[in-house]
Amino acid sequence: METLQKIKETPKENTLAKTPLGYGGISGSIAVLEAFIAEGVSTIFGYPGGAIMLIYDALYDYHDRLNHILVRHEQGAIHAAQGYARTSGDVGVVFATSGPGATNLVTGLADAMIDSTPVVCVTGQVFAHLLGTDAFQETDVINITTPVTKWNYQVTDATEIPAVLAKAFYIARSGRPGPVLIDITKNAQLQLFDYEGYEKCNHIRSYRPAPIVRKEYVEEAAKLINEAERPFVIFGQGVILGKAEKEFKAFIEKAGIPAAWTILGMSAIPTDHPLGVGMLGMHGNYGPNLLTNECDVLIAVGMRFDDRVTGRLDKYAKQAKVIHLDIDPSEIDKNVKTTVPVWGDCKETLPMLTKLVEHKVYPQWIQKFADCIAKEKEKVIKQELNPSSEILTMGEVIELVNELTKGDAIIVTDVGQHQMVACRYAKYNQSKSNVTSGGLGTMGFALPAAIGAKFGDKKRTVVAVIGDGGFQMTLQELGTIMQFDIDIKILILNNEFLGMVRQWQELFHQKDIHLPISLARILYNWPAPIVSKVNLFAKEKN
Amino acid sequence: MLNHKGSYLLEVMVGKENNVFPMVPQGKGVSEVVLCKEDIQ
Ligand SMILES: Cc1ncc(C[n+]2csc(CCOP(=O)(O)OP(=O)(O)O)c2C)c(N)n1
Ligand SMILES: [Mg+2]
Repeated sequence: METLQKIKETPKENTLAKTPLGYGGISGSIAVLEAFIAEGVSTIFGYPGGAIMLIYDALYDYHDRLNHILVRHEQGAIHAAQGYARTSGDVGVVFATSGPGATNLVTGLADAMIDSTPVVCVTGQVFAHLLGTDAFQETDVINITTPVTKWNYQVTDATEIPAVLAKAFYIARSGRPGPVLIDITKNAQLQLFDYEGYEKCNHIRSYRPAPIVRKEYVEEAAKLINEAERPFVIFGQGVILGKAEKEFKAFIEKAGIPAAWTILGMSAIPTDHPLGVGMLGMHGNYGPNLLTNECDVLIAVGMRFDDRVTGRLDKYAKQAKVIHLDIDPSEIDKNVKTTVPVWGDCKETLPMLTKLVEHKVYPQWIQKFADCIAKEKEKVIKQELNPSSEILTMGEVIELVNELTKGDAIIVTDVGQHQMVACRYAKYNQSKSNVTSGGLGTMGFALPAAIGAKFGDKKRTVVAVIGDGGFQMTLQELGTIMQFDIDIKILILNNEFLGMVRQWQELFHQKDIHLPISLARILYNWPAPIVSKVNLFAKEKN
Repeated sequence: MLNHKGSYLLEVMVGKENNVFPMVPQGKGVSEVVLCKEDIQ
Protein backbone atom coordinates (compact mmCIF):
# COMPACT_ATOMS: atom_id res chain seq x y z
CA MET A 1 0.00 0.00 0.00
CA GLU A 2 2.97 2.32 0.56
CA THR A 3 3.80 2.22 -3.10
CA LEU A 4 0.22 2.81 -3.93
CA GLN A 5 0.16 5.86 -1.71
CA LYS A 6 3.34 7.14 -3.28
CA ILE A 7 1.95 6.73 -6.75
CA LYS A 8 -1.28 8.48 -5.87
CA GLU A 9 0.58 11.38 -4.33
CA THR A 10 3.13 11.81 -7.07
CA PRO A 11 1.46 10.88 -10.30
CA LYS A 12 4.23 12.43 -12.38
CA GLU A 13 6.64 9.74 -11.15
CA ASN A 14 4.36 7.08 -12.50
CA THR A 15 5.16 6.73 -16.17
CA LEU A 16 2.08 4.63 -16.70
CA ALA A 17 -0.10 7.55 -15.71
CA LYS A 18 1.19 9.43 -18.73
CA THR A 19 -0.11 6.90 -21.19
CA PRO A 20 -2.65 7.93 -23.78
CA LEU A 21 -5.24 6.14 -21.71
CA GLY A 22 -5.35 9.06 -19.34
CA TYR A 23 -4.64 9.88 -15.72
CA GLY A 24 -6.03 8.55 -12.46
CA GLY A 25 -6.31 5.29 -10.57
CA ILE A 26 -3.70 2.57 -10.91
CA SER A 27 -2.63 0.46 -13.83
CA GLY A 28 -3.58 -3.17 -14.31
CA SER A 29 0.09 -4.03 -13.84
CA ILE A 30 0.18 -2.46 -10.40
CA ALA A 31 -3.06 -4.19 -9.51
CA VAL A 32 -1.37 -7.55 -10.19
CA LEU A 33 1.48 -6.73 -7.83
CA GLU A 34 -0.86 -5.37 -5.15
CA ALA A 35 -2.73 -8.67 -5.34
CA PHE A 36 0.52 -10.58 -4.81
CA ILE A 37 1.37 -8.48 -1.76
CA ALA A 38 -2.11 -9.01 -0.31
CA GLU A 39 -1.82 -12.77 -0.88
CA GLY A 40 1.48 -12.90 0.99
CA VAL A 41 3.66 -13.59 -2.03
CA SER A 42 7.33 -12.84 -1.46
CA THR A 43 9.07 -14.60 -4.33
CA ILE A 44 8.19 -14.65 -8.04
CA PHE A 45 9.89 -16.95 -10.53
CA GLY A 46 9.75 -15.50 -13.99
CA TYR A 47 11.08 -14.57 -17.37
CA PRO A 48 10.14 -11.37 -19.19
CA GLY A 49 9.16 -10.57 -22.75
CA GLY A 50 7.24 -8.05 -24.82
CA ALA A 51 3.75 -8.93 -23.65
CA ILE A 52 4.55 -8.82 -19.93
CA MET A 53 7.05 -5.99 -19.90
CA LEU A 54 4.57 -3.53 -18.39
CA ILE A 55 4.20 -5.74 -15.32
CA TYR A 56 7.97 -6.03 -15.09
CA ASP A 57 8.15 -2.24 -15.32
CA ALA A 58 5.79 -1.92 -12.38
CA LEU A 59 7.76 -4.58 -10.49
CA TYR A 60 10.65 -2.16 -10.25
CA ASP A 61 8.83 -0.17 -7.56
CA TYR A 62 8.11 -3.34 -5.61
CA HIS A 63 11.60 -4.83 -5.58
CA ASP A 64 11.90 -4.36 -1.82
CA ARG A 65 8.84 -6.53 -1.21
CA LEU A 66 8.66 -8.87 -4.17
CA ASN A 67 11.78 -10.86 -4.85
CA HIS A 68 11.94 -11.75 -8.53
CA ILE A 69 14.10 -14.71 -9.48
CA LEU A 70 15.05 -14.52 -13.12
CA VAL A 71 15.25 -18.13 -14.28
CA ARG A 72 16.78 -19.25 -17.56
CA HIS A 73 13.72 -20.88 -19.13
CA GLU A 74 10.01 -20.63 -18.31
CA GLN A 75 9.89 -24.36 -17.54
CA GLY A 76 12.44 -23.57 -14.85
CA ALA A 77 10.13 -20.87 -13.46
CA ILE A 78 7.16 -23.14 -13.03
CA HIS A 79 9.14 -26.06 -11.61
CA ALA A 80 10.73 -23.61 -9.17
CA ALA A 81 7.26 -22.40 -8.19
CA GLN A 82 6.24 -26.04 -7.68
CA GLY A 83 9.28 -26.65 -5.49
CA TYR A 84 8.38 -23.53 -3.53
CA ALA A 85 4.79 -24.70 -3.06
CA ARG A 86 5.85 -28.17 -1.96
CA THR A 87 8.23 -27.05 0.80
CA SER A 88 6.35 -23.95 1.97
CA GLY A 89 2.82 -25.35 1.79
CA ASP A 90 1.80 -22.12 0.05
CA VAL A 91 1.17 -20.98 -3.53
CA GLY A 92 4.10 -20.65 -5.97
CA VAL A 93 3.96 -17.72 -8.39
CA VAL A 94 5.19 -17.40 -11.98
CA PHE A 95 5.52 -14.66 -14.60
CA ALA A 96 5.93 -15.44 -18.28
CA THR A 97 5.39 -13.64 -21.53
CA SER A 98 2.95 -14.56 -24.29
CA GLY A 99 3.53 -17.09 -27.09
CA PRO A 100 6.72 -19.08 -26.48
CA GLY A 101 6.93 -17.93 -22.88
CA ALA A 102 3.47 -19.29 -22.18
CA THR A 103 3.93 -22.54 -24.11
CA ASN A 104 7.13 -23.21 -22.17
CA LEU A 105 4.98 -23.41 -19.05
CA VAL A 106 2.86 -26.28 -20.30
CA THR A 107 5.00 -29.16 -18.97
CA GLY A 108 5.11 -27.57 -15.53
CA LEU A 109 1.36 -26.94 -15.54
CA ALA A 110 0.70 -30.57 -16.43
CA ASP A 111 3.08 -31.62 -13.67
CA ALA A 112 1.43 -29.34 -11.11
CA MET A 113 -2.03 -30.47 -12.22
CA ILE A 114 -1.39 -34.17 -11.79
CA ASP A 115 0.52 -33.65 -8.53
CA SER A 116 -2.05 -31.19 -7.12
CA THR A 117 0.47 -28.39 -6.62
CA PRO A 118 -0.85 -24.87 -6.00
CA VAL A 119 0.69 -22.47 -8.51
CA VAL A 120 -0.52 -19.17 -9.96
CA CYS A 121 0.95 -18.23 -13.35
CA VAL A 122 0.46 -14.80 -14.84
CA THR A 123 1.17 -14.64 -18.55
CA GLY A 124 1.25 -11.55 -20.73
CA GLN A 125 -0.88 -11.53 -23.86
CA VAL A 126 -1.01 -9.35 -26.97
CA PHE A 127 -3.31 -6.30 -27.03
CA ALA A 128 -6.97 -7.29 -26.97
CA HIS A 129 -7.61 -5.73 -30.37
CA LEU A 130 -4.97 -8.04 -31.86
CA LEU A 131 -6.40 -11.26 -30.43
CA GLY A 132 -7.16 -13.74 -33.17
CA THR A 133 -5.01 -12.01 -35.79
CA ASP A 134 -1.88 -14.18 -35.47
CA ALA A 135 -0.19 -11.22 -33.89
CA PHE A 136 3.48 -11.43 -32.98
CA GLN A 137 3.86 -13.94 -30.12
CA GLU A 138 0.14 -14.54 -29.91
CA THR A 139 -0.83 -18.03 -28.77
CA ASP A 140 -4.18 -19.23 -27.61
CA VAL A 141 -2.80 -20.05 -24.19
CA ILE A 142 -6.25 -20.48 -22.68
CA ASN A 143 -7.12 -23.36 -24.98
CA ILE A 144 -3.65 -24.88 -24.76
CA THR A 145 -3.66 -24.91 -20.97
CA THR A 146 -7.28 -25.78 -20.26
CA PRO A 147 -6.71 -29.50 -19.61
CA VAL A 148 -3.63 -28.83 -17.46
CA THR A 149 -4.99 -26.13 -15.18
CA LYS A 150 -7.49 -26.20 -12.36
CA TRP A 151 -8.71 -22.86 -13.70
CA ASN A 152 -7.57 -20.42 -16.36
CA TYR A 153 -8.90 -17.07 -17.48
CA GLN A 154 -8.06 -14.27 -19.86
CA VAL A 155 -8.31 -10.68 -18.66
CA THR A 156 -8.78 -7.93 -21.25
CA ASP A 157 -10.07 -5.25 -18.88
CA ALA A 158 -7.98 -4.10 -15.91
CA THR A 159 -10.97 -3.55 -13.65
CA GLU A 160 -11.29 -7.32 -13.44
CA ILE A 161 -7.74 -7.90 -12.20
CA PRO A 162 -8.19 -7.68 -8.40
CA ALA A 163 -11.18 -10.01 -8.30
CA VAL A 164 -9.71 -12.44 -10.85
CA LEU A 165 -6.42 -12.75 -8.98
CA ALA A 166 -8.26 -13.21 -5.68
CA LYS A 167 -10.16 -16.05 -7.31
CA ALA A 168 -6.93 -17.45 -8.77
CA PHE A 169 -5.23 -17.73 -5.39
CA TYR A 170 -8.36 -19.11 -3.76
CA ILE A 171 -8.82 -21.80 -6.41
CA ALA A 172 -5.12 -22.71 -6.48
CA ARG A 173 -4.89 -23.32 -2.74
CA SER A 174 -8.36 -24.49 -1.72
CA GLY A 175 -9.73 -28.02 -1.77
CA ARG A 176 -7.55 -30.22 -3.89
CA PRO A 177 -4.90 -27.66 -4.90
CA GLY A 178 -3.74 -27.11 -8.46
CA PRO A 179 -2.30 -24.71 -11.00
CA VAL A 180 -4.13 -21.61 -12.21
CA LEU A 181 -3.15 -19.50 -15.19
CA ILE A 182 -4.25 -15.89 -15.69
CA ASP A 183 -3.55 -14.42 -19.12
CA ILE A 184 -3.57 -10.61 -19.17
CA THR A 185 -3.64 -8.64 -22.40
CA LYS A 186 -1.24 -5.77 -22.75
CA ASN A 187 -3.93 -3.12 -22.86
CA ALA A 188 -5.26 -4.35 -19.51
CA GLN A 189 -1.78 -4.12 -17.99
CA LEU A 190 -1.59 -0.54 -19.22
CA GLN A 191 -5.14 0.51 -18.44
CA LEU A 192 -5.73 2.84 -15.50
CA PHE A 193 -8.75 2.26 -13.36
CA ASP A 194 -10.25 3.29 -10.05
CA TYR A 195 -8.83 0.82 -7.58
CA GLU A 196 -11.04 0.00 -4.65
CA GLY A 197 -8.56 -2.17 -2.81
CA TYR A 198 -8.07 -5.91 -2.74
CA GLU A 199 -10.47 -8.34 -1.25
CA LYS A 200 -9.45 -11.94 -0.73
CA CYS A 201 -11.80 -14.54 -2.11
CA ASN A 202 -13.17 -17.31 0.09
CA HIS A 203 -16.26 -18.40 -1.77
CA ILE A 204 -17.25 -18.99 -5.36
CA ARG A 205 -20.76 -19.98 -6.26
CA SER A 206 -21.04 -23.66 -7.25
CA TYR A 207 -17.40 -24.36 -6.36
CA ARG A 208 -17.19 -26.60 -3.33
CA PRO A 209 -13.51 -27.13 -2.47
CA ALA A 210 -14.21 -29.50 0.41
CA PRO A 211 -17.33 -31.65 0.36
CA ILE A 212 -19.56 -31.74 3.40
CA VAL A 213 -18.51 -34.64 5.61
CA ARG A 214 -21.13 -37.32 6.03
CA LYS A 215 -20.92 -38.66 9.53
CA GLU A 216 -22.58 -41.95 8.69
CA TYR A 217 -19.71 -42.86 6.37
CA VAL A 218 -17.15 -42.08 9.06
CA GLU A 219 -19.10 -44.33 11.41
CA GLU A 220 -19.25 -47.12 8.84
CA ALA A 221 -15.54 -46.80 8.23
CA ALA A 222 -14.78 -46.99 11.94
CA LYS A 223 -16.92 -50.09 12.23
CA LEU A 224 -15.03 -51.82 9.41
CA ILE A 225 -11.71 -50.86 10.98
CA ASN A 226 -12.73 -52.09 14.41
CA GLU A 227 -13.77 -55.46 12.97
CA ALA A 228 -10.66 -55.87 10.85
CA GLU A 229 -7.99 -58.48 11.47
CA ARG A 230 -5.43 -57.28 8.96
CA PRO A 231 -6.11 -53.58 8.29
CA PHE A 232 -3.65 -51.67 6.12
CA VAL A 233 -3.35 -47.91 5.63
CA ILE A 234 -1.98 -46.46 2.40
CA PHE A 235 -1.50 -42.70 2.28
CA GLY A 236 -0.61 -40.04 -0.23
CA GLN A 237 0.14 -36.38 -0.54
CA GLY A 238 -3.36 -35.51 0.64
CA VAL A 239 -2.08 -35.80 4.21
CA ILE A 240 0.60 -33.18 3.51
CA LEU A 241 -1.60 -30.91 1.37
CA GLY A 242 -4.27 -31.06 4.06
CA LYS A 243 -1.65 -30.20 6.70
CA ALA A 244 -3.00 -33.21 8.57
CA GLU A 245 0.25 -34.95 9.52
CA LYS A 246 -0.54 -34.82 13.24
CA GLU A 247 -4.10 -36.03 12.77
CA PHE A 248 -2.86 -38.86 10.56
CA LYS A 249 -0.24 -39.98 13.05
CA ALA A 250 -2.78 -39.94 15.87
CA PHE A 251 -5.11 -42.10 13.79
CA ILE A 252 -2.63 -44.86 12.89
CA GLU A 253 -1.13 -44.86 16.38
CA LYS A 254 -4.46 -45.29 18.13
CA ALA A 255 -5.71 -47.89 15.65
CA GLY A 256 -2.28 -49.62 15.56
CA ILE A 257 -2.44 -50.04 11.78
CA PRO A 258 0.66 -50.44 9.59
CA ALA A 259 0.92 -47.64 7.01
CA ALA A 260 2.69 -47.36 3.67
CA TRP A 261 3.20 -44.17 1.67
CA THR A 262 2.98 -43.32 -2.00
CA ILE A 263 5.94 -41.48 -3.47
CA LEU A 264 4.21 -38.14 -2.83
CA GLY A 265 2.94 -39.08 0.61
CA MET A 266 6.49 -39.79 1.71
CA SER A 267 7.72 -37.80 4.75
CA ALA A 268 4.19 -37.10 6.07
CA ILE A 269 5.26 -39.36 8.93
CA PRO A 270 8.93 -39.90 9.81
CA THR A 271 10.34 -42.69 7.66
CA ASP A 272 11.42 -44.57 10.80
CA HIS A 273 7.98 -44.45 12.43
CA PRO A 274 7.33 -47.89 13.97
CA LEU A 275 4.09 -48.27 11.98
CA GLY A 276 5.66 -47.02 8.73
CA VAL A 277 6.21 -50.02 6.47
CA GLY A 278 7.66 -48.32 3.40
CA MET A 279 6.79 -47.09 -0.06
CA LEU A 280 4.13 -48.40 -2.42
CA GLY A 281 4.48 -48.54 -6.16
CA MET A 282 6.22 -50.18 -9.06
CA HIS A 283 9.60 -49.69 -7.38
CA GLY A 284 8.31 -49.42 -3.85
CA ASN A 285 9.12 -51.81 -1.06
CA TYR A 286 8.36 -55.50 -1.22
CA GLY A 287 6.06 -55.81 1.81
CA PRO A 288 3.55 -53.03 1.09
CA ASN A 289 3.05 -54.29 -2.45
CA LEU A 290 2.77 -57.97 -1.58
CA LEU A 291 0.57 -57.50 1.48
CA THR A 292 -1.87 -55.15 -0.24
CA ASN A 293 -3.32 -58.40 -1.51
CA GLU A 294 -3.51 -59.93 1.98
CA CYS A 295 -5.12 -57.19 4.05
CA ASP A 296 -8.80 -57.42 4.86
CA VAL A 297 -9.51 -53.69 5.14
CA LEU A 298 -7.59 -51.22 3.00
CA ILE A 299 -7.75 -47.63 4.22
CA ALA A 300 -6.60 -45.16 1.57
CA VAL A 301 -5.95 -41.62 2.79
CA GLY A 302 -5.39 -38.72 0.37
CA MET A 303 -4.12 -40.87 -2.47
CA ARG A 304 -5.54 -41.58 -5.90
CA PHE A 305 -4.71 -45.21 -6.76
CA ASP A 306 -2.32 -44.29 -9.54
CA ASP A 307 -1.55 -47.20 -11.87
CA ARG A 308 2.06 -47.14 -10.69
CA VAL A 309 0.67 -47.94 -7.24
CA THR A 310 -2.02 -50.47 -8.15
CA GLY A 311 -0.42 -52.45 -10.95
CA ARG A 312 -3.11 -54.47 -12.68
CA LEU A 313 -6.43 -53.36 -11.27
CA ASP A 314 -8.17 -56.70 -11.69
CA LYS A 315 -5.57 -58.17 -9.36
CA TYR A 316 -5.57 -55.33 -6.86
CA ALA A 317 -6.78 -55.89 -3.30
CA LYS A 318 -9.76 -57.89 -4.49
CA GLN A 319 -10.04 -59.59 -1.07
CA ALA A 320 -10.26 -56.30 0.84
CA LYS A 321 -12.97 -53.90 1.85
CA VAL A 322 -11.81 -50.48 0.77
CA ILE A 323 -12.24 -47.23 2.70
CA HIS A 324 -11.20 -44.16 0.73
CA LEU A 325 -10.69 -40.79 2.42
CA ASP A 326 -10.34 -38.06 -0.19
CA ILE A 327 -11.19 -34.41 -0.62
CA ASP A 328 -11.92 -34.84 -4.32
CA PRO A 329 -15.15 -36.79 -4.93
CA SER A 330 -14.05 -37.55 -8.49
CA GLU A 331 -11.29 -39.78 -7.09
CA ILE A 332 -13.78 -42.00 -5.28
CA ASP A 333 -14.46 -45.16 -7.34
CA LYS A 334 -12.32 -43.82 -10.21
CA ASN A 335 -9.85 -46.70 -10.24
CA VAL A 336 -10.70 -48.84 -7.24
CA LYS A 337 -14.23 -49.59 -6.10
CA THR A 338 -14.71 -48.39 -2.54
CA THR A 339 -16.79 -50.02 0.16
CA VAL A 340 -16.99 -46.83 2.21
CA PRO A 341 -16.24 -43.42 0.69
CA VAL A 342 -15.22 -40.79 3.22
CA TRP A 343 -15.35 -37.56 1.26
CA GLY A 344 -13.85 -34.55 2.89
CA ASP A 345 -10.75 -32.78 4.08
CA CYS A 346 -8.76 -35.43 5.96
CA LYS A 347 -7.81 -32.80 8.54
CA GLU A 348 -11.48 -32.96 9.47
CA THR A 349 -12.32 -36.62 8.81
CA LEU A 350 -9.26 -38.23 10.42
CA PRO A 351 -9.96 -36.92 13.95
CA MET A 352 -13.59 -38.02 13.59
CA LEU A 353 -12.38 -41.47 12.67
CA THR A 354 -9.73 -41.56 15.41
CA LYS A 355 -12.39 -40.86 17.99
CA LEU A 356 -14.40 -43.89 16.87
CA VAL A 357 -11.67 -46.48 16.40
CA GLU A 358 -10.54 -48.78 19.18
CA HIS A 359 -7.03 -48.94 20.59
CA LYS A 360 -5.52 -52.01 18.96
CA VAL A 361 -2.31 -53.81 18.07
CA TYR A 362 -1.78 -56.39 15.35
CA PRO A 363 1.49 -58.12 16.26
CA GLN A 364 1.13 -61.07 13.85
CA TRP A 365 0.09 -58.91 10.93
CA ILE A 366 2.89 -56.43 11.56
CA GLN A 367 5.32 -59.34 11.80
CA LYS A 368 4.45 -60.16 8.18
CA PHE A 369 5.71 -56.73 7.11
CA ALA A 370 8.86 -57.26 9.17
CA ASP A 371 9.41 -60.62 7.45
CA CYS A 372 9.09 -58.93 4.07
CA ILE A 373 11.60 -56.28 5.05
CA ALA A 374 14.01 -59.03 6.10
CA LYS A 375 13.55 -60.73 2.74
CA GLU A 376 14.08 -57.48 0.84
CA LYS A 377 17.20 -56.81 2.91
CA GLU A 378 18.56 -60.21 2.12
CA LYS A 379 17.84 -60.17 -1.60
CA VAL A 380 18.22 -56.50 -2.55
CA ILE A 381 19.39 -54.09 0.11
CA LYS A 382 22.44 -56.06 1.26
CA GLN A 383 23.99 -56.05 -2.19
CA GLU A 384 23.00 -52.47 -2.81
CA LEU A 385 24.49 -51.07 0.36
CA ASN A 386 27.51 -53.35 0.65
CA PRO A 387 28.34 -54.30 -2.90
CA SER A 388 31.11 -56.81 -3.27
CA SER A 389 32.58 -54.91 -6.19
CA GLU A 390 34.46 -51.62 -6.15
CA ILE A 391 31.71 -49.95 -8.12
CA LEU A 392 29.60 -47.46 -6.19
CA THR A 393 25.82 -47.95 -6.12
CA MET A 394 23.18 -45.21 -5.97
CA GLY A 395 21.93 -46.70 -2.70
CA GLU A 396 25.31 -46.19 -1.04
CA VAL A 397 25.34 -42.54 -2.05
CA ILE A 398 21.87 -41.93 -0.61
CA GLU A 399 22.86 -43.72 2.60
CA LEU A 400 25.76 -41.32 2.92
CA VAL A 401 23.39 -38.37 2.45
CA ASN A 402 21.22 -39.81 5.24
CA GLU A 403 24.19 -40.11 7.52
CA LEU A 404 25.33 -36.55 6.89
CA THR A 405 21.92 -34.85 6.97
CA LYS A 406 20.43 -37.05 9.71
CA GLY A 407 17.09 -37.02 7.95
CA ASP A 408 16.71 -33.26 8.25
CA ALA A 409 17.26 -32.35 4.60
CA ILE A 410 14.79 -31.70 1.83
CA ILE A 411 15.63 -34.07 -1.00
CA VAL A 412 14.51 -33.09 -4.48
CA THR A 413 14.76 -35.86 -7.03
CA ASP A 414 14.56 -35.97 -10.79
CA VAL A 415 13.05 -38.89 -12.70
CA GLY A 416 14.55 -42.30 -13.32
CA GLN A 417 16.44 -44.95 -11.41
CA HIS A 418 18.09 -42.44 -9.08
CA GLN A 419 14.61 -41.17 -8.13
CA MET A 420 13.39 -44.62 -7.19
CA VAL A 421 16.58 -45.43 -5.29
CA ALA A 422 16.57 -42.07 -3.50
CA CYS A 423 12.94 -42.52 -2.47
CA ARG A 424 13.58 -46.08 -1.31
CA TYR A 425 16.55 -45.19 0.87
CA ALA A 426 16.05 -41.57 1.94
CA LYS A 427 15.37 -40.99 5.62
CA TYR A 428 13.12 -38.13 6.63
CA ASN A 429 12.08 -36.95 10.02
CA GLN A 430 9.84 -34.06 9.00
CA SER A 431 7.04 -33.43 6.54
CA LYS A 432 7.39 -31.72 3.14
CA SER A 433 10.87 -33.18 2.70
CA ASN A 434 10.46 -35.24 -0.44
CA VAL A 435 10.01 -33.16 -3.57
CA THR A 436 9.65 -35.10 -6.79
CA SER A 437 7.61 -35.24 -9.97
CA GLY A 438 5.28 -38.12 -9.18
CA GLY A 439 2.37 -38.22 -11.60
CA LEU A 440 3.96 -36.75 -14.71
CA GLY A 441 7.49 -38.07 -14.16
CA THR A 442 9.08 -34.99 -15.67
CA MET A 443 12.78 -35.31 -16.33
CA GLY A 444 14.44 -31.95 -15.74
CA PHE A 445 12.19 -31.20 -12.77
CA ALA A 446 14.74 -31.45 -9.98
CA LEU A 447 17.22 -28.65 -10.61
CA PRO A 448 14.67 -25.83 -10.93
CA ALA A 449 12.39 -27.39 -8.29
CA ALA A 450 15.33 -27.40 -5.87
CA ILE A 451 15.72 -23.64 -6.40
CA GLY A 452 12.11 -23.11 -5.43
CA ALA A 453 12.34 -25.63 -2.59
CA LYS A 454 15.11 -23.54 -1.04
CA PHE A 455 13.05 -20.34 -1.21
CA GLY A 456 10.10 -22.25 0.24
CA ASP A 457 12.03 -23.22 3.36
CA LYS A 458 15.28 -21.32 3.64
CA LYS A 459 16.35 -22.83 6.95
CA ARG A 460 16.68 -26.35 5.61
CA THR A 461 19.39 -28.02 3.58
CA VAL A 462 18.23 -28.82 0.04
CA VAL A 463 19.85 -31.70 -1.79
CA ALA A 464 18.95 -32.24 -5.45
CA VAL A 465 19.53 -35.82 -6.59
CA ILE A 466 19.62 -35.88 -10.38
CA GLY A 467 20.47 -38.37 -13.11
CA ASP A 468 22.96 -37.59 -15.85
CA GLY A 469 20.10 -37.55 -18.35
CA GLY A 470 17.61 -35.32 -16.54
CA PHE A 471 20.34 -32.91 -15.49
CA GLN A 472 20.94 -32.09 -19.11
CA MET A 473 17.28 -31.18 -19.62
CA THR A 474 17.29 -28.07 -17.43
CA LEU A 475 20.94 -27.48 -16.62
CA GLN A 476 20.64 -23.89 -17.77
CA GLU A 477 19.27 -23.18 -14.30
CA LEU A 478 22.83 -23.46 -12.98
CA GLY A 479 23.00 -19.85 -14.20
CA THR A 480 20.11 -18.88 -11.92
CA ILE A 481 21.75 -20.67 -8.99
CA MET A 482 25.03 -18.83 -9.51
CA GLN A 483 23.45 -15.42 -10.13
CA PHE A 484 21.27 -15.49 -7.04
CA ASP A 485 23.74 -17.45 -4.93
CA ILE A 486 21.17 -20.11 -4.07
CA ASP A 487 22.47 -22.57 -1.52
CA ILE A 488 21.51 -25.96 -2.91
CA LYS A 489 23.58 -29.11 -3.04
CA ILE A 490 23.42 -30.84 -6.39
CA LEU A 491 24.23 -34.50 -6.52
CA ILE A 492 24.45 -36.01 -9.99
CA LEU A 493 24.27 -39.78 -10.00
CA ASN A 494 25.98 -40.53 -13.26
CA ASN A 495 25.47 -44.04 -14.61
CA GLU A 496 26.22 -42.89 -18.16
CA PHE A 497 22.81 -44.13 -19.19
CA LEU A 498 19.18 -43.19 -19.32
CA GLY A 499 19.15 -45.82 -16.65
CA MET A 500 15.45 -46.42 -16.26
CA VAL A 501 15.01 -46.80 -20.01
CA ARG A 502 18.00 -49.11 -20.17
CA GLN A 503 16.53 -51.23 -17.37
CA TRP A 504 13.22 -51.66 -19.24
CA GLN A 505 15.02 -52.52 -22.42
CA GLU A 506 17.07 -55.12 -20.61
CA LEU A 507 14.11 -56.63 -18.75
CA PHE A 508 11.27 -56.43 -21.22
CA HIS A 509 12.46 -55.69 -24.70
CA GLN A 510 15.57 -57.85 -24.96
CA LYS A 511 16.95 -55.40 -27.45
CA ASP A 512 20.31 -53.83 -27.25
CA ILE A 513 19.40 -50.32 -28.24
CA HIS A 514 20.77 -48.73 -25.10
CA LEU A 515 21.23 -45.04 -25.26
CA PRO A 516 24.38 -44.05 -23.44
CA ILE A 517 24.27 -40.39 -22.60
CA SER A 518 27.48 -38.54 -22.13
CA LEU A 519 27.47 -35.88 -19.49
CA ALA A 520 31.22 -35.81 -19.07
CA ARG A 521 31.60 -34.10 -22.38
CA ILE A 522 29.45 -31.21 -21.34
CA LEU A 523 30.96 -30.69 -17.95
CA TYR A 524 34.63 -31.08 -18.74
CA ASN A 525 35.56 -31.71 -22.30
CA TRP A 526 33.69 -29.11 -24.26
CA PRO A 527 36.25 -27.11 -26.18
CA ALA A 528 35.27 -23.69 -24.97
CA PRO A 529 38.07 -21.18 -24.93
CA ILE A 530 36.90 -17.68 -24.13
CA VAL A 531 36.96 -15.65 -27.27
CA SER A 532 36.96 -11.91 -27.63
CA LYS A 533 36.37 -9.98 -30.81
CA VAL A 534 40.09 -9.50 -31.30
CA ASN A 535 41.20 -13.09 -31.03
CA LEU A 536 38.15 -14.47 -32.83
CA PHE A 537 39.01 -12.58 -35.96
CA ALA A 538 42.67 -13.40 -35.54
CA LYS A 539 41.77 -17.10 -35.33
CA GLU A 540 39.47 -17.03 -38.33
CA LYS A 541 42.27 -15.62 -40.43
CA ASN A 542 44.68 -18.38 -39.43
CA MET B 1 29.64 -30.57 0.09
CA LEU B 2 27.12 -30.09 2.90
CA ASN B 3 29.38 -27.93 5.03
CA HIS B 4 30.35 -25.76 2.09
CA LYS B 5 28.73 -22.34 2.22
CA GLY B 6 26.65 -21.89 -0.89
CA SER B 7 25.78 -24.09 -3.81
CA TYR B 8 27.77 -27.17 -4.65
CA LEU B 9 27.73 -29.60 -7.54
CA LEU B 10 29.04 -33.10 -7.05
CA GLU B 11 29.05 -35.66 -9.80
CA VAL B 12 29.27 -39.24 -8.60
CA MET B 13 30.05 -42.05 -11.00
CA VAL B 14 27.91 -45.05 -10.11
CA GLY B 15 27.49 -48.53 -11.56
CA LYS B 16 26.38 -48.34 -15.17
CA GLU B 17 24.04 -51.24 -15.54
CA ASN B 18 22.41 -51.70 -12.17
CA ASN B 19 18.68 -52.35 -12.04
CA VAL B 20 16.20 -51.08 -9.49
CA PHE B 21 14.39 -53.74 -7.47
CA PRO B 22 11.88 -54.60 -6.06
CA MET B 23 9.69 -54.16 -9.11
CA VAL B 24 6.09 -54.79 -9.98
CA PRO B 25 6.55 -55.64 -13.65
CA GLN B 26 4.29 -53.86 -16.10
CA GLY B 27 0.96 -55.63 -16.53
CA LYS B 28 1.33 -57.58 -13.28
CA GLY B 29 -0.53 -57.39 -10.01
CA VAL B 30 1.07 -55.93 -6.88
CA SER B 31 1.55 -59.33 -5.28
CA GLU B 32 3.61 -60.39 -8.29
CA VAL B 33 6.32 -58.00 -7.09
CA VAL B 34 9.80 -59.40 -7.79
CA LEU B 35 13.11 -58.94 -6.02
CA CYS B 36 15.45 -59.78 -8.86
CA LYS B 37 15.64 -60.16 -12.61
CA GLU B 38 15.47 -63.95 -12.46
CA ASP B 39 12.02 -63.81 -10.87
CA ILE B 40 10.42 -62.04 -13.84
CA GLN B 41 8.40 -64.43 -15.97
C1 LIG C 1 10.79 -35.22 -20.18
C2 LIG C 1 10.91 -36.70 -20.15
N1 LIG C 1 11.32 -37.36 -21.25
C3 LIG C 1 11.45 -38.72 -21.23
C4 LIG C 1 11.17 -39.43 -20.11
C5 LIG C 1 11.30 -40.96 -20.09
N2 LIG C 1 12.31 -41.38 -19.12
C6 LIG C 1 12.00 -41.79 -17.87
S1 LIG C 1 13.34 -42.15 -16.95
C7 LIG C 1 14.38 -41.83 -18.22
C8 LIG C 1 15.85 -41.98 -18.05
C9 LIG C 1 16.43 -41.00 -17.08
O1 LIG C 1 17.83 -41.04 -17.18
P1 LIG C 1 18.72 -40.34 -16.08
O2 LIG C 1 18.27 -38.94 -15.88
O3 LIG C 1 20.16 -40.52 -16.44
O4 LIG C 1 18.35 -41.13 -14.76
P2 LIG C 1 18.68 -42.67 -14.39
O5 LIG C 1 17.48 -43.46 -14.73
O6 LIG C 1 19.87 -43.09 -15.20
O7 LIG C 1 18.96 -42.63 -12.95
C10 LIG C 1 13.67 -41.43 -19.36
C11 LIG C 1 14.27 -41.09 -20.65
C12 LIG C 1 10.72 -38.70 -18.99
N3 LIG C 1 10.37 -39.29 -17.85
N4 LIG C 1 10.62 -37.34 -19.03
MG1 LIG D 1 21.49 -41.94 -15.83
